[in-house]
Amino acid sequence: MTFFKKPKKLKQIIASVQKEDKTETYNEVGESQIEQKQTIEDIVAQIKEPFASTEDLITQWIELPSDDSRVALLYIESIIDRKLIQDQILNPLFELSNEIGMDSLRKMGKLDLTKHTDMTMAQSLLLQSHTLVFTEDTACFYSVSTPVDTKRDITEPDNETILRGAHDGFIENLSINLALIRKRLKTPKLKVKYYRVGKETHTTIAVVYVDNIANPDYVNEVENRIKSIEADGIYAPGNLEESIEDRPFSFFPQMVSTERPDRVAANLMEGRIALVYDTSPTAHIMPVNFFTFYQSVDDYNNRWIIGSFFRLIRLFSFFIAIGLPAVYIATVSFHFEVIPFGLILLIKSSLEDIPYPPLFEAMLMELTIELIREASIRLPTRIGSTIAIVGGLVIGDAVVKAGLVSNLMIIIVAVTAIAAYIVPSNEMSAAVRILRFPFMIAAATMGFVGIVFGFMILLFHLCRLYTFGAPYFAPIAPLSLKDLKDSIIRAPFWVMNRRPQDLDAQKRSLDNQVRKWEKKS
Amino acid sequence: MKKVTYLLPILFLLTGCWDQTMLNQTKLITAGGFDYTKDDKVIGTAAVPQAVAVEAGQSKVADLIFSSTGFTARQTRLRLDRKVTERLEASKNQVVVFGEKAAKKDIYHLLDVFYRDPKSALNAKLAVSKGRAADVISTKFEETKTSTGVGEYLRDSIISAEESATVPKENIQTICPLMFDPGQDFALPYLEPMGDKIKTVKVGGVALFNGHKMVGTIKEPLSVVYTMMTGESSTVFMSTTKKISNKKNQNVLNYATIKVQKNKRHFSVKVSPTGEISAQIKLKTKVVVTEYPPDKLSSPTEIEKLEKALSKRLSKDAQEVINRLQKMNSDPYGVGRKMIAFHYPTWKKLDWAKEYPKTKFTASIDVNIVDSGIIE
Amino acid sequence: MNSHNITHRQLFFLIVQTQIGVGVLSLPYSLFSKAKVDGWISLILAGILIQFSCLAIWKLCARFPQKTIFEILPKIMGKNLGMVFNIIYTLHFAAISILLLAMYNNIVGKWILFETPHWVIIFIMAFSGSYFITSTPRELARFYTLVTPLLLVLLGLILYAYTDVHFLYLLPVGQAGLSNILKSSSDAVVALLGFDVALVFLAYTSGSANKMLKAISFGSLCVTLVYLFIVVTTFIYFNPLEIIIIPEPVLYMLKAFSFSIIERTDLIFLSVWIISVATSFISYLFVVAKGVQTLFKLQNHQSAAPFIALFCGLIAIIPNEKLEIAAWNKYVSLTSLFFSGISPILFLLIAVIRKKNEKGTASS
Repeated sequence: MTFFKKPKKLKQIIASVQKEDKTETYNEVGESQIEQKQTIEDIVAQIKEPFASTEDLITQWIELPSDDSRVALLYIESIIDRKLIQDQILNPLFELSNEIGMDSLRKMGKLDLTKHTDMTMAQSLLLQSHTLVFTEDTACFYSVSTPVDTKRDITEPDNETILRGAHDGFIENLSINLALIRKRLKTPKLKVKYYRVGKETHTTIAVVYVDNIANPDYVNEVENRIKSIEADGIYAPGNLEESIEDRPFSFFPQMVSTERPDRVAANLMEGRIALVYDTSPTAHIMPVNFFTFYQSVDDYNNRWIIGSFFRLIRLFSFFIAIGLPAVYIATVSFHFEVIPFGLILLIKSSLEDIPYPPLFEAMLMELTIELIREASIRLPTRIGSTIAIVGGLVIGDAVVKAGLVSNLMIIIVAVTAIAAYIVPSNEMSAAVRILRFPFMIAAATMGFVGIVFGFMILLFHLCRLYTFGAPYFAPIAPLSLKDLKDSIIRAPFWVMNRRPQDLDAQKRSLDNQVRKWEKKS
Repeated sequence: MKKVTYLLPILFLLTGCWDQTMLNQTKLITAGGFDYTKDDKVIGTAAVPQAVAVEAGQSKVADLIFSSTGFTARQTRLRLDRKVTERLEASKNQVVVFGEKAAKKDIYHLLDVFYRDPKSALNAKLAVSKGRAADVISTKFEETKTSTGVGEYLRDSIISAEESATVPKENIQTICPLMFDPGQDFALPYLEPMGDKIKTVKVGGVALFNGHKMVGTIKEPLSVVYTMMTGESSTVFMSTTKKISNKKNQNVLNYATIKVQKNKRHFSVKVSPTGEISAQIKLKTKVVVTEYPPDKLSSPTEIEKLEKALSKRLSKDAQEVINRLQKMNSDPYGVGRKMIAFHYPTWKKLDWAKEYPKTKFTASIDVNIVDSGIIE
Repeated sequence: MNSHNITHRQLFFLIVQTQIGVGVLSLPYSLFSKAKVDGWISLILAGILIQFSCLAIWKLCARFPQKTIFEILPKIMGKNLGMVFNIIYTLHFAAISILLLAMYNNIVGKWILFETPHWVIIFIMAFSGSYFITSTPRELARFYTLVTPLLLVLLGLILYAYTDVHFLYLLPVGQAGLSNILKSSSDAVVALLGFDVALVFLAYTSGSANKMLKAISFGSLCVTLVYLFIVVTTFIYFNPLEIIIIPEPVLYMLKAFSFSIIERTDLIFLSVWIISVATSFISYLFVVAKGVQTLFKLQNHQSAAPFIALFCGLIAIIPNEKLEIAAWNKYVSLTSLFFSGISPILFLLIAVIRKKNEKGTASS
């Protein structure tokens, strides 16, 4: 635990400003001790020093009836469960300490205590809902984990709902989250490594991977990047994401964030690495490629042809969401020759009285949609639907009637918006929504030529993007035809017998020896 | 993040919009016509549809007709442009009509502007009109009153004539190689405006060309045979009605209507050792009988009889077409092309324009009935 | 270098994408102007010729594994002479890049963006190019592989011409005469240029020597076939007398096609074609950057990228007439015939005679 070298700053997290420590009143003796031999009071005071003036740090003195020795219990009242202390420490102590000493009790397993000799650890243990037990033997102390149970129920994440499949989701508790993963991957190869980041926040992050599958290079890379973080606080998973991702200037998300344990488990088995956070239901998966964002758990629960179809639709939506408004602008203001004759008079008449250039029209409507989206997220669900009505019906209809925007533009914008929200991942959807603006500008400047240059640069950006050393646009660039069957389409389970090449997994083959039964004719 | 800086100049470049031609600030020409005045000036006529009020996809088109004169086709266009408020765009032009007199002069000179302009519509249909092109375009046809504009109306008329094989499929681009070809000519639809009260246009046959000039016409029932012999294997409704006997007292019983299912053309050009050129078109055609009032097609002999009668009749028509073509000195089947390809040395010595009418050119059509509808 | 290496498959795509460029549009015209309808024979001859050049390039690079032409030349010619040749080669490749830009500008300006200032059209390409070449050959190759399916779109569009073709236009064969056919094949070689970037990219290819040879020679073969298809298609679509007045027959042909959902297919074709031109331009720009790196002894080629792009762009603006570009084209054709087609064979001979290879230089 090398991360805990500066325990003095810990006190900031306990927000009490009271000058007088309530617990001090019990033991005034402790303060006048001889330097040479540390007494139990010395130790306790020493531990308590950085916590000075926080009122929820409790010291409880117990005199053991057997040998008159004293035991001190230290805990932070707000994050421990008193009942646990009672059950785990006090009861066995009073029952048994008559006969034998503390240490032997522990050794016998009657007391669920951990023995520590390193005093510097005391503070961090305290902050992690441990109760510390100090005895007259000042060389060591004991700790027991007594966390208060403040977790919420396991529910399906609202932002990643699926039709079929498991409906549980991560919550704000690391051990529960890990339990949800372990429940799915019951293998000793599943490795969990804890890191605590943030000098003050001490956010616990668990790096989870499957040992004989994940490429150790990527694991090391992830671990090194996490280790290198030196920040006062990592408050949200987003902070961590930005601290370790490869290209912070890119529009594209470089790790999948999900609240679904099934998604995490499946990705772990492919050879990816997951970061699970304490205090946040979001887990991150890395290294990822572009197509990971377009996969949904639903694909695997649907019949494979249907799953493939939906996946193709989603990928198609990527181009629609980015390119459709741009193509529309380029067409009506540069190359209307490409519109077939049957359509052109229709389009022309719908555009005839629009005072603004198509770019402005499109910008106006796209921004309106973004406004509606933003508003409906912030508002409680009941008012949210009102916004949808106001936005969708009133604005959409009125703006056409007022002659500000053409009918066609409304259709284009609506299709684009739908296409952008098809993406199963929120971050990717946001990236796509942002990207359409440069494309619209390019189209309004140079027509199709502008769009072509836009797409060229976009595709090349994707080609040269790496996440943790793995190519981002993987099964396509570098091309790996075998991997296309779980990225462009969703091939049947029994066909997928290789793990993705870009992850360079230790064990490439998947033993999908299914459908080996004899068909009865 | 140095690389981002490479992209900044690109953003800088994306600031103007030089080429913008807004759809709603242009006037689209849908039909154009060319005539000559007496003093050899070009009269250009253009139909510009004005869409009136769109409600639930129901657009009503009112055509505005503009015309102007100039020394060349381009000059008339430029003068037309000055007559209208917004920019005239010919990129969605549907049809170009030549007055008969203009067509007899030279159509390439007028079409040059279409070939040269990168935005022009090369897939527009071409047609020759009886009388002046300006009259055809400015006529308020019955059908254009309800829905379509004149450009679309003329184009659709021509397309439907193509489908019934009255005229061969051509557009501005497809005739271009033929105009340049010394060994092949082409034919365009020949439009005849009809009716006094209810005005319609009729595709009355084909106008035949020699080089850039129109040299004559082949009218409607015969023009189907003409199209069949171009080698077109079939169109949507390649049909013709033929009189096959004189015996029946009720006249309607003398006729049979057939629909061609598949044509197979065998076209050969031979040069005899004495230098005589002979050309032969043999057409094997599979047909469906779509109308035959005598109703006796149950026996094979009966079918054979009908086949023979049809073959005889069609071969006669085919020879008639060939004779006329030779008389007009128009070579749309490309006898000359065959000569260039297979008898190049002979061709080089010839004056083809003089030689072609003298060529021994025969044609025969062999009819094979494969179906007779759902009754026999 | 190892982590940026490309595979021989990627090399194949790199060669194909570099070769297919501006030439697609104007090749039928330039072939026809000399060899008439026998132009396709010239093309085949040129295709055979460049196979020899490919062989020479490969043999030369195989003697110096993982060395670019700019590192090889000083070794076989001696330091000073090698330097001179390096300068010449860098300028030669720069000239090709500039010509590409100028021709791209000419066609785009003529067919899509009539009013847009030429410097805008040129610099948007030049700066995109400079962005692209800040990466390694590996990413370039990946990108090229990614955009290769678009070539199928181009070919598919051209295939539509077969609804109205006159096969007889190709006959009789051999009417132009042998000398004209031979003369015309030099034009074909220019259109097929692009295999010469292998002089640099072979250094970044990993894999067995045989596979590399297969990649470049098969790449060139594919491009020759694609061009042959395009040339023959245009020859049988247009009348021989008509082609003479149509400098971009492919586009012209597509202009007449219309489908029920889209008209004016030439615009679609041009848009896709721009990517093909960009890939050619980027390859050459990369080669130039490598040359500049060697000449100025730079740490990496990236730092030279924007200056090269600026340089090429500025020069490409100068010719603003069709005829001027034609003149440039002529000069660059001659130099490329020599530097890309013939001189690799000469260098190989020199290397063989002077017994220079990687080991030989180490001892001398």
